[in-house]
Amino acid sequence: MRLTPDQVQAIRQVAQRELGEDARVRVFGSQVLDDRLGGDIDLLFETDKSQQNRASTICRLYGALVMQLGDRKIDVLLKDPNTPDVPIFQIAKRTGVLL
Amino acid sequence: MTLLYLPEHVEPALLALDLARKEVAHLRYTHETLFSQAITTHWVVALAVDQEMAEKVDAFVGRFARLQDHIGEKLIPRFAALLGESPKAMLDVLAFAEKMQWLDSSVQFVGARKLRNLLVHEYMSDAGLFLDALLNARDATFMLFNVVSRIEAKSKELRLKLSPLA
Repeated sequence: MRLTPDQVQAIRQVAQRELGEDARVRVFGSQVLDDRLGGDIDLLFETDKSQQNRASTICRLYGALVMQLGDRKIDVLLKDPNTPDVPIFQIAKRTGVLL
Repeated sequence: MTLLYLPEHVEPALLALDLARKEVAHLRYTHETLFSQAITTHWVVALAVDQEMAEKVDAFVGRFARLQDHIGEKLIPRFAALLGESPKAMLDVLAFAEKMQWLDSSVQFVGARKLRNLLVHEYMSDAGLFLDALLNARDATFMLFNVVSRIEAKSKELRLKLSPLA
């Protein structure tokens, strides 16, 4: 996993601030491969609380992450109880690293 | 009399403002025609077979994205240069716009960039999320319009005019 401790801390803080203490966040994709350089940051946020407007939550997470990590390519997936369990979530859970 | 701006930056600033006004007019038209109808999950699902409406959504998303990019990459930086500032990084550009009260929230502006990824209907796997994103983009459009109108007000306050040779 190539995220620095500061980046992990920043991502956790954003997750807790936007989704609450029980939010879980995983990094997946190229950032979990130690032999790669650069690349996007792919994140899966999970919460047991239904979001009133999931797009709005994704935008707030993304905006807050860019403010913390700088203007780099960050992909945000959000899974709440209303989100259909499409394959990308299973892949992210299976291959991702819990932060 | 002391000038409140750098004259050499007037032309690029006004050209960016002129383009922004045109983009606002195009986006306003699509926004009005698209959102004059009731947008529901059922409507979103029907996009898969309603080519005409799907094209309108694409036009809206494209125009939204073009105006947002133009504001962040040209309009704000050129008016910043006019006022003697030269923020380079996007976050510095937005922080300057916040300081000038042209923009209410950098986080909200940055966050709205995500909407265009959520509004690619060809890859839609979640109609509820698409609906949320579309309604968010409907509201975020007014944030973009506000930035342009506030910068336009600044331009009027400074009495900017293109020189006859420009």
